[in-house]
Amino acid sequence: MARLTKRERRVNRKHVLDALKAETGSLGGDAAAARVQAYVKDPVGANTVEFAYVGGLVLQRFYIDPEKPNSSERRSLWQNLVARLGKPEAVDPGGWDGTTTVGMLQAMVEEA
Amino acid sequence: MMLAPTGTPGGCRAGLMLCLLLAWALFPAFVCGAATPADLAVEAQNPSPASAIEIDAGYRFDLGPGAASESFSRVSYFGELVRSTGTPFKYAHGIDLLAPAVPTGAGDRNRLALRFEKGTATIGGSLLAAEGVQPLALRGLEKLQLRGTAWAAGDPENGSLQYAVGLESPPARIPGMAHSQASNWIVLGVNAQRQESDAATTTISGSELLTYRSFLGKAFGWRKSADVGKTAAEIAGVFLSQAPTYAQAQDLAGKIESTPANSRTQLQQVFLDTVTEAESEGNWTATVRAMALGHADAITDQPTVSVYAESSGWYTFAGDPQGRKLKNLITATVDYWLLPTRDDVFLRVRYENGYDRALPTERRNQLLVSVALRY
Repeated sequence: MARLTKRERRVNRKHVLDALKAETGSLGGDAAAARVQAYVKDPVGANTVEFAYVGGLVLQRFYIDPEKPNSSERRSLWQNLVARLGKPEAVDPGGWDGTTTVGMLQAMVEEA
Repeated sequence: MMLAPTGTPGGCRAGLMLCLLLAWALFPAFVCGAATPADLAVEAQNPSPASAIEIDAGYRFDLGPGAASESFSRVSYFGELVRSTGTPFKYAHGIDLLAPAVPTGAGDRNRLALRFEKGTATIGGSLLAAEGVQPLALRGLEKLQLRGTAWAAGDPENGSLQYAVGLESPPARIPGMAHSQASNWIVLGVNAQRQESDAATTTISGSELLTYRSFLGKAFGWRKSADVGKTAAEIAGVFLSQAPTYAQAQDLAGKIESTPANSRTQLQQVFLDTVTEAESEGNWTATVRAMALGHADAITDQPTVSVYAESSGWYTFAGDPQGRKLKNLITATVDYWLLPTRDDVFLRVRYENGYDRALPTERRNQLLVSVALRY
């Protein structure tokens, strides 16, 4: 698979954050909300520190409960992600949970 | 001490065991509490990058009439020991960017185990777990984005088995909470369910259900669990020592990419992101430092308290409801991270009231107080 460009990866990260917002209503908690909102508004123009920051947020920050996302919530999020990234047939490889970061989940969808 | 004393010899033993567990859990935290700021950078972790051992121990106060309270504990082990393999941040010395991630069973761990463990079945957060959710494009209803669901649950004590198929809506915001900063969602569904109960007589019955599950939660008291600058320097140091030039970074990235994305460590993925972000030799060092700073900033964010409530229920509109037609389970939980530099030790207080769909004839009304450890 050809490596995605910097621009494509930044836009895909926005899609992951949008999907998490749609699923949970959260922007990653009070400490992250303003930075996530700013990144989502302009993913291509955001500086590198912000790209890394939003990528380092773990899913638990959006789902709050350490036991989440549970199986149904993971599958719901996956459906949301693949729809946004235009890969409706992509199969969830599994192996992710609340400790997974936005960046890691993004890579799984891109690779699926 | 929030763990309740017990009056029986067995209870005393259980209480002593819990105290020992707590002391064992807190000992390394106190050691780390006396550490230097440089040590704190190495300890940065949020959450723990790989939990090989999970321990929950506590006390369950049964608030129902005539019910007995009891202590409970659960110890789960996943994969290899973290310490032997070396995971990012927790033991940051000697990180090898090519080393595979520790297999932790992430994603599917606990769900079934929790159902079958004595005394611990009620502390899981998975309510009405709907397995096998798949999108369904129904003609004329595409905009509803309905998902097909399949669900199954069993009770080994009485040999009962339940399974259901149905439709579910995508998550929607709870009315009035759409513009809040709290995590919140509600999912509605319709299910056709079959019950096979009583292993001796094998009675089979069917029913149709309307279901819902909702969640509302928020974390408070955000703080830094470690020094961001020192943690960033640690990450940048690892990257630049193993890939001093962009050409070497591309070579290393190619090797890391041979590991599937769901098996990479956090640092491996950040390294790949950094290579794409840098784009050229001239940007390499500056990009590494910027990426390390952003990532360190994110992973050192730590809430002090999380408060969340979940409600799930079902209405039996056809068939045997096994009691009331409308049954639900409400849980309210407070997690408190009591140590400033450890995010893998927390106190949990949880109240549960109602019926679990897997055990529809047993009403819960209980308060659980526990210490949870994630190593």
